[in-house]
Amino acid sequence: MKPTALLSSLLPLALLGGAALAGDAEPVEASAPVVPADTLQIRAKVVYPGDGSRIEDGLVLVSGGKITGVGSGADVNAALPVLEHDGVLTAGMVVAHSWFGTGGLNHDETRAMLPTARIAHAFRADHSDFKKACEAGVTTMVLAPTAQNVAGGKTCVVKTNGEILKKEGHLALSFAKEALRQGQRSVFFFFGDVEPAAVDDGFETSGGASNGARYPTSYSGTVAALDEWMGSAAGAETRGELPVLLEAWDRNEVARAAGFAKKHGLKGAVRGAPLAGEVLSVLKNSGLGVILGPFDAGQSQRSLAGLPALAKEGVPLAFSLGRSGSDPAFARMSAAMAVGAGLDAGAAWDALSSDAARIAGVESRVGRLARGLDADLVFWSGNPIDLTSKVEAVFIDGKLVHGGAQ
Amino acid sequence: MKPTQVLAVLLFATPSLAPVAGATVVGTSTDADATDPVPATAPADDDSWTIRADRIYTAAGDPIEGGVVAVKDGKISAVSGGGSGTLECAAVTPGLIDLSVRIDTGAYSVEQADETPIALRVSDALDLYSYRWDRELRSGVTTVLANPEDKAVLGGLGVVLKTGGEPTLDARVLRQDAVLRGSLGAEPSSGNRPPRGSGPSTFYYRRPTTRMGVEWILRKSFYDALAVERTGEGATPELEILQRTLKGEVPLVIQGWATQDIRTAVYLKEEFSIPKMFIDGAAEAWHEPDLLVRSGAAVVLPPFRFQGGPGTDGSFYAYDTAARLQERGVMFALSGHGASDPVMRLNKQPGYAMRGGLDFADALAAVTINPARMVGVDDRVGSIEVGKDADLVLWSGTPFEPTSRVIGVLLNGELVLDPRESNQ
Repeated sequence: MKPTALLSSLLPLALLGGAALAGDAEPVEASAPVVPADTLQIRAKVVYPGDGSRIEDGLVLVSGGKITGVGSGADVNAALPVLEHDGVLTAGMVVAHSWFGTGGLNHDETRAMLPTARIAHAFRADHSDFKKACEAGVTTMVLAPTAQNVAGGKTCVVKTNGEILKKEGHLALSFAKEALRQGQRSVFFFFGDVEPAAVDDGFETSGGASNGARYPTSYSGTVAALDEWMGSAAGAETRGELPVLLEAWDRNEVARAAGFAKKHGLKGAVRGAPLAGEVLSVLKNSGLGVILGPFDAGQSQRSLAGLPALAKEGVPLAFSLGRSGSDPAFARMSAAMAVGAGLDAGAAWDALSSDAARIAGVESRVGRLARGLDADLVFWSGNPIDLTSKVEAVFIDGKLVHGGAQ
Repeated sequence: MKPTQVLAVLLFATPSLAPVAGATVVGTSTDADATDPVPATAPADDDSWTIRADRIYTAAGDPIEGGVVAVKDGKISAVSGGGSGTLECAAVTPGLIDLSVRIDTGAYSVEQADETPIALRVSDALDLYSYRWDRELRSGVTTVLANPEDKAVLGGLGVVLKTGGEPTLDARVLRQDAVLRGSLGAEPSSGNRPPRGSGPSTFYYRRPTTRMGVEWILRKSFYDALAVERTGEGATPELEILQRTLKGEVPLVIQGWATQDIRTAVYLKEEFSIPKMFIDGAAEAWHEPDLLVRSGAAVVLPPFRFQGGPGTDGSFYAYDTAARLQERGVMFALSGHGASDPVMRLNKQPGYAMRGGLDFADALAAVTINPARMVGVDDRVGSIEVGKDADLVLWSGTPFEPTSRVIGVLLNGELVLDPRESNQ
């Protein structure tokens, strides 16, 4: 960060303190009342605000659960206590999609269309999922219904201290096969060419489709059912208010989801899309973001290879943590795999923070270190994209929630 | 030439070079002659080709000996005798058209919560990223009719599309809602009964469970449509589509392999005076051709070498089926069913039909202009005529002979298979 930029970011905080900083870059006198007394000063060897800059010897001020300033460690008020961190300080990570905290009870199988269901009423705030996520440096998460319903309901955005940040995050829709299987006959005994021959013999090989079979069972049925709902009063209302989270895995599903979003003027993100890089033009054209992963070390190179191009074209990226009980460290693992495939490290960090916050619709609250945002902070031993770095302490809303021997 | 190749050639009749007989085309207009003006703007080099062939099979008249097809801006800009070309080959034909390509997303392509999801579009369920489109394209098939899988009695609306280009519907679709897909025989009812040993079928199982049930649902659907027509009440999007089918605006394509199902289809056409219908998979069409002649139904024949196999209701398909239908003046097309086996692909089908006695010109028409007319896209594709889409197949020798190969393919004027890279 250039000195002038640093100064400008410090200016509001200086005004807050009742004393204007001088135009020169002289260190502030120890006695100068620049920082209010109720303010927590955190001075770190390196601060990543999340705007692409890197501040050596940085200072973050916290008051009333909010960040009140970000600047240089040289501006510290020595008269007040200072929390010193010999490492890296960042905003808390944001995970744009997970099934955490619901114990698997996050969809209702009896109806394919449950657009008004809410995950906010289905998660357990003190679930161990959140504690583990918090300890891994994740402070904000989107909780989503599964892909097993065509319209799964409303997602919820929570802090990992169990507080709800946004009660209705997105409308979760599924273009994935999972949503269709519930209504399909289940085939057993025979596979391939043997089956029809057996049918000719009068042998039924399936579980039997029933009149009560869940509609839809087909991709065209999905589109028709969602078109119909979007045309309803409830759909029109939701369309104006909420972004969408669209589950889509195969490339044709992603194209179908993107086409649907475009047709109805929906904003939001696709979740899944392992080959998102191969449907780049479709995604870019739709304006949707993409939530990928979680990636393990064995993730296919074909899948990872498309990520740099997506970021380059400005498609917002974020990572999922998947099912309840999975290791939250996979958020960083996913980012590391993406960097290994050529994604810019800054873009990878954005996918874990600001881009994810934007996809979750909470970018005015979390995702960066900036004045006015929630004081969700992670104290790292080193660069967070480097998997050898450890989380040493986590603050949520200005309160220490994990670690912190200091 | 190896002895085996000589034998293979001798097995086939010498290709007849008679013009495509217009009289064999039943119930279609001849507006294929209409041409669009060719844009005068100079295209980039990549968009402009001249193809020199020893013989040009236009599917719109006599073959042209030693001629050139010029391509500009994705369209055929000129067809003439003599001249030289940027691409050379032994023969050129129009891009092949398959009305039974059967590239779908399987069980996800057809709605099973309903036995008549008439208003659903298969275009909403296609996988345009499937490698199978490219396999068709590189074997010479440039235009296809895609339908839902046959797990419903009336499975929805089919779409005519190109097999290549950008993988978007906007780029590929030639005709949306081109046909209404129906299915007879065992397939739409298979799987609707409970598994053996787990108790009887009940009210709660999906109808139909038998051929009788399939036929009943079809007739009920059309009766419902007629009732709406008569009373003006109870209209639904589904019944509106059926009404359009009854008016001939949306052809009914109905699968029926065996004689009994072909009969059912014909009876249905006659009972409801359905103006446009073609029977897909009509393996036993040879059995009672007079029924087809009487009803005016057209036929899409299944691929040869597909003998009584799974899913065909035990039907028997005779090699002379196409020739017999041609004799009687029944409109028909050949199909390849998107087969992975090179032996069964559409570019081989005219050869089998010729072995069964069909003329070369009629065999060519059965994979080009006839299917184009059956689904109403003959103003764009199906023959080599100025103004039509530049969908062309380049051959190493006489088309459809077992000794010949597809060595080049152009789609919308773009070279997708380069004959210069062929090791001919």
